[in-house]
Amino acid sequence: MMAYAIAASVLGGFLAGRLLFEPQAWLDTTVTYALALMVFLVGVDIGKNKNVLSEIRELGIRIMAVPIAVAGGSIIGAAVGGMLLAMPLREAAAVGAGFGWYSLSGVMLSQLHSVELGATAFLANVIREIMALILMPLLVRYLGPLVAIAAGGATTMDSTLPMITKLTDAKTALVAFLSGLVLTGLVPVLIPLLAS
Amino acid sequence: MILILCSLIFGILIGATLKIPPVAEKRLGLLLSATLFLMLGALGAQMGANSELVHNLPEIGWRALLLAALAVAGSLAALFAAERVFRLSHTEGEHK
Repeated sequence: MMAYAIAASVLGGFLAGRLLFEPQAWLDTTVTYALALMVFLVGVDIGKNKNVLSEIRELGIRIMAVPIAVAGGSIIGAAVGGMLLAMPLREAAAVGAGFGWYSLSGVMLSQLHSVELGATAFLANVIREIMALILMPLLVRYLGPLVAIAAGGATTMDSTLPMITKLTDAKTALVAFLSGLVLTGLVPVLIPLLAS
Repeated sequence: MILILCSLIFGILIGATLKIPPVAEKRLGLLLSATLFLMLGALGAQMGANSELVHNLPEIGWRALLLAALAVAGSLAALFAAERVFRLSHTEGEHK
């Protein structure tokens, strides 16, 4: 349902842009404020999880190695892709730093850098989420439940969490949620750092 | 982009300090969805209005696929290594 609505808004906008208008400044301004509003609301969502700190303490601080490894691995992996594609490394790294959060990374990079890089980030991160959903059963089986959550990146706190919960155990699902939460907070911090 | 960072920090502070009643939370969720659709529609429009980009779309798609695959592979490899170095799942025996 959500997926259809998302596809419809992007395609609807795309067709409108194709048929109706030239790139316009007001569109830019609208997007910037919508972006700020969205990040604010996501921030409220993150801040609400007050028990996170006690959960991290309970699991041991070492658990923070999970989001750090996922962040570093995603960025390095995408940078290697950039090398293969003869793309500027920081641009490729910024795409990787979307961690599957396609709406934010796509819109942010189109504002900060170029519409082309924004489109690349949007598509790459949509593909990442789909890959995570499709591959998750295999990854859990062959790499183990903990390693498997890496594929989901920031989405392991929302869209891929139900699947992780179903395929793994309660502890892994909690780690997945915490890791997704940290990665979600990192996206709006890392993308400007890498892209500007 | 200072605006974005400030929005994030401000949001986290509000979320952490204020007690948000369920009704308001539901409305915030709706507002978040509306913002998301607005933003994605605008991103689509920016893409559609850019003829050069429309022309390059197939190439952008392949590039995105490769970047996504390598980001997934990189994150799996890094977490695989971290799991062993930090013995992250050494307590997992108790589940079996």
